[in-house]
Amino acid sequence: MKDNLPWIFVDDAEDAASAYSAELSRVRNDLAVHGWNPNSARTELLSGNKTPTGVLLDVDLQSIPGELGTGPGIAQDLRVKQRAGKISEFPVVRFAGQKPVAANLEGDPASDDLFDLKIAKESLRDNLVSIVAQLKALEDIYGCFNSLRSVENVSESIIAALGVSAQQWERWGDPRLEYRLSSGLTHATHIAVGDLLRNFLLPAGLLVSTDLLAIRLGVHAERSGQAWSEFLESLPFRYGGIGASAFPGWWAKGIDEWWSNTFPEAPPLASMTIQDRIATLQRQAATANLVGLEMPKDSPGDRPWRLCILSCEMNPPKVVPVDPAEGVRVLGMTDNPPWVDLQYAALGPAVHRNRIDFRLNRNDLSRLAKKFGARL
Amino acid sequence: MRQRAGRKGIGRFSAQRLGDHLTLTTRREDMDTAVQLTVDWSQFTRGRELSEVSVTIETEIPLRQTGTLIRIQRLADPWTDAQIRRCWRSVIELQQPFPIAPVEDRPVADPGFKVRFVRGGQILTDDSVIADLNTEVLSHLHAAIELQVSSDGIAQWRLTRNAFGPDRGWTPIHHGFPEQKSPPPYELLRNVYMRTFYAVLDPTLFSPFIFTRLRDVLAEQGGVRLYRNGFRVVPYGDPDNDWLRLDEMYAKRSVLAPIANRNFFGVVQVTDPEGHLFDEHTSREGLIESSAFAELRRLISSVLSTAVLKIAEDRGRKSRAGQKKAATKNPENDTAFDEVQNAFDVAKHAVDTVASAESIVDAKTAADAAALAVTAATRAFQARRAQISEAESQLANEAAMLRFLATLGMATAEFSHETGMTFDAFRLDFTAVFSAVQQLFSENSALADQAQRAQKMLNRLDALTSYLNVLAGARAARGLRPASITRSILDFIRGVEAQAKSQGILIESEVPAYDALHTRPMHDAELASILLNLYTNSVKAIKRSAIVPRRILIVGDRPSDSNDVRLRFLDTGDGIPQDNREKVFDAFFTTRNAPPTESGEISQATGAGLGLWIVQQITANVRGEVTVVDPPQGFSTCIELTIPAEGEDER
Repeated sequence: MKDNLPWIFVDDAEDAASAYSAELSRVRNDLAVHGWNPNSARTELLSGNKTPTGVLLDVDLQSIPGELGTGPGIAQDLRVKQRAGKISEFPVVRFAGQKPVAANLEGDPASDDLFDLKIAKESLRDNLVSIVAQLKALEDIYGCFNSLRSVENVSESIIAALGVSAQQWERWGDPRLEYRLSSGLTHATHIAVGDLLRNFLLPAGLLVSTDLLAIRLGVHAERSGQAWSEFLESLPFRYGGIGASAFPGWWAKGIDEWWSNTFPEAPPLASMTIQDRIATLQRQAATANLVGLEMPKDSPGDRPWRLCILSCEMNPPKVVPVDPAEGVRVLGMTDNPPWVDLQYAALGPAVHRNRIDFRLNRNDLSRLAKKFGARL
Repeated sequence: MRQRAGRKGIGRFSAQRLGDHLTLTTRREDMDTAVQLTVDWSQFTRGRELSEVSVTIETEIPLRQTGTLIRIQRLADPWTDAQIRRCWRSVIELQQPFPIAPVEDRPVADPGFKVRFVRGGQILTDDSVIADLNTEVLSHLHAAIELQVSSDGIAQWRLTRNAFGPDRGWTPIHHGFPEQKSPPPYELLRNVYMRTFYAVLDPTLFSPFIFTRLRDVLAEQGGVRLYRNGFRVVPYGDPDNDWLRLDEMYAKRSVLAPIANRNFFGVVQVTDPEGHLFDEHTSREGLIESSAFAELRRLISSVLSTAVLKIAEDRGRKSRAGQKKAATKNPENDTAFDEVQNAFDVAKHAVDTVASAESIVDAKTAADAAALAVTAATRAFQARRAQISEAESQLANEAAMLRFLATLGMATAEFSHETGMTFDAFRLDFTAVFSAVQQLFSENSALADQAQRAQKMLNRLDALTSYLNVLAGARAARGLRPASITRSILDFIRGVEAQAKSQGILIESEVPAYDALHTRPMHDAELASILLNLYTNSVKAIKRSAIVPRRILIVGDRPSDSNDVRLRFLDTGDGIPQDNREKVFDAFFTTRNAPPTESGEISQATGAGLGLWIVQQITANVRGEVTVVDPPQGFSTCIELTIPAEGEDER
């Protein structure tokens, strides 16, 4: 007899697990989280006796006497069983403190694909509502993709799930992503969900975040206040597909399309300086009150198009625009598909972390150091 | 007037055990002649009526000195010097060993005893002093620490006879208000006086004979004894009694300077004739732990800690000057080694000459030359050995200090790790409880206020634990390599921003956009440690100051006229007086009074005046400099560090 359960949080500290579970359950009535110890999780979940809505896994479980396993270990077992069809497909999320993650997993991408999302316990403090929204979105995505596995025309269904028409997909999307999702669904739901999240919803590429949208348009969102909010409402390229409520984004190619349609006489957005971009926007009555963005002193150039990844990784994260012509490329720990944007760092943070961050492109650093008189 | 010590009147009979004849002569200061009592104990024989034995009391006896002279003759046993010394120690046990300062101002008060033992020779005028407190102990000790609490409860302390530096005049003190220059009076304490002598028991500071004697005396007699209304209260100050928790504190190395009971020889005197404040247990096993007694203990331990840190500061400055010399190449050592080598050469030559000498004159000449060379070498060797011994002793102290600081650092890191693991979960539950209380009991304003207050305090604790976590992370050693001042400043500010904000302090930085400001190789953790110590000092200084807005600015740059990188730490605190600009980097220098011994290790360590010393040590270790410079407008303090920039071959 199989029971359906709420979300399960597998942790070695019972009281802490209860506290986190209570906090996550507090926001919405339709999301409940229960704390389990690792042993129960293995017994109940891997046997398929019980099917949770999703599983949250801590990384280090060893404060329980005799426990030798880890969260990623349980995740791997679950994924293998799911791939084999021996247990149901449900989301698996890493939910751990930053320190144990740094100590056990930092620099090792081996367990990246096992988890749909990776959430730091500490981030619950400031992002509870959005984290809960993401967990609910994961339920929806799994529900949707589980059902897609049995439809005949998967490609069309995937495009529909992404909230665009076939024509829009042709203009804004990428057929290689469509293939990856279709292919993933033939093997297991979680494989396709992983691609959707890691290669589409989370990184800048086909979609961009609201912060990056503002940077590309040359707008200082915070200083623009209400004018920016109203402007966003009017834009026709907001992502509206599966998971949109928790992973807000904008079709990147939609921005360019909208720009050339709205300002046909203007050059392509990426080629314009931020002063020209805002000046162009301010010529229209609807966007006259938007305030222009200024480049920070440690990020040279005036054609920003990317976010500084080093600043995003800081605690707390910081939004720093980067002009790719004057930025430093950053290599990822894993190869990204071609539709995902390259990562960049602003010159200042790159110079400051030059000796300790080996992802930074040395040629870019040398070239820019010479140009801007930076000391490496 | 002297209060009567005993009650039963039988003390005089103890003299009978020592000798057959007792003469007690006493002359008051206001009299020209003395009164003399003579007892011949040999006449007290079995069966004889007491009234038949005469005990004479004579007046108008000439006596040169005022005071009391007890002469015991026809001794029952022979007395060696060692026995007399033991006897003297026993008397010290009973008597307040020296008068305490304020007695001088009260002529009618008991002047106390000054105990001297005299061995009478055949010629009375040729008495030789066998044992004397001043010659035995006090004259060799390194400082005198005094405390007085006035009749209105104001406590003051002073340091005199300081062998390592200047004396310190009367300074107000209150253990509960270490930062305040004019602290409030004590609630209960009145008319308390303490005089304690202090010694650093380091063999290099005494001749071997004095050191051995002093060490033995202090091991047995050291500590601070308590006298109430002129009488000793046991067991306070007994060898196994640590009523001021000095031994405990020193054993834990909470205070790194020598501060055990064996480093003190002192007396504290309280006056409480009615027994309202300091009442004894009926078993006579000490005083009842009253509030006044608690105040007394805390005050005394605070005074002793403060004084000892001042002495350590003076002593440290002196010793470090020597160490600097030793750290670089000491030419005196070279000379000494050259002399020893020369002596060997001359001696070898002498041996060869003697072996092959054809005449006794040649052999003698060679031997004389060798003897001269060896004598010179021995002298040089001994001088160097003494210096090296002192340097070793200082290094051992520093090593102990560093071990303690490392332990403290590791304990802090472990604490932050443990709290970090559970604090987030704990905060979630607490927040839920608070908001439930506010909702459910919205009509109970007192409870709602309490919940709101608790929430605020929780937020503050939250900021503090985040700060500790960041610092513990920054302290992880990652090897020796050029460290970035720019990155360290930016990372540090991110770590402490929330904590600074909780203190109402705005913390900002000014760093170059495209220059990491790499130093010569050092540990990243060392820069983090420098920033932490400067920050901690600044926060304290800002809290003492009334200047608003409260600001800290950390600037990183390169001075135009050198190959250094520079870090400047500016704040709006109460500033550093010109006189203290150099002293602030000395170990144990602090403007605050030390907390009482029972206040815990962290409290002892954080107030010990080691923060800026650590900054100075780290900076000196990378051949940099740290100085207090004139601050720019808008700030009251600017501490400037210059560190050599990385060289081409150090990348």
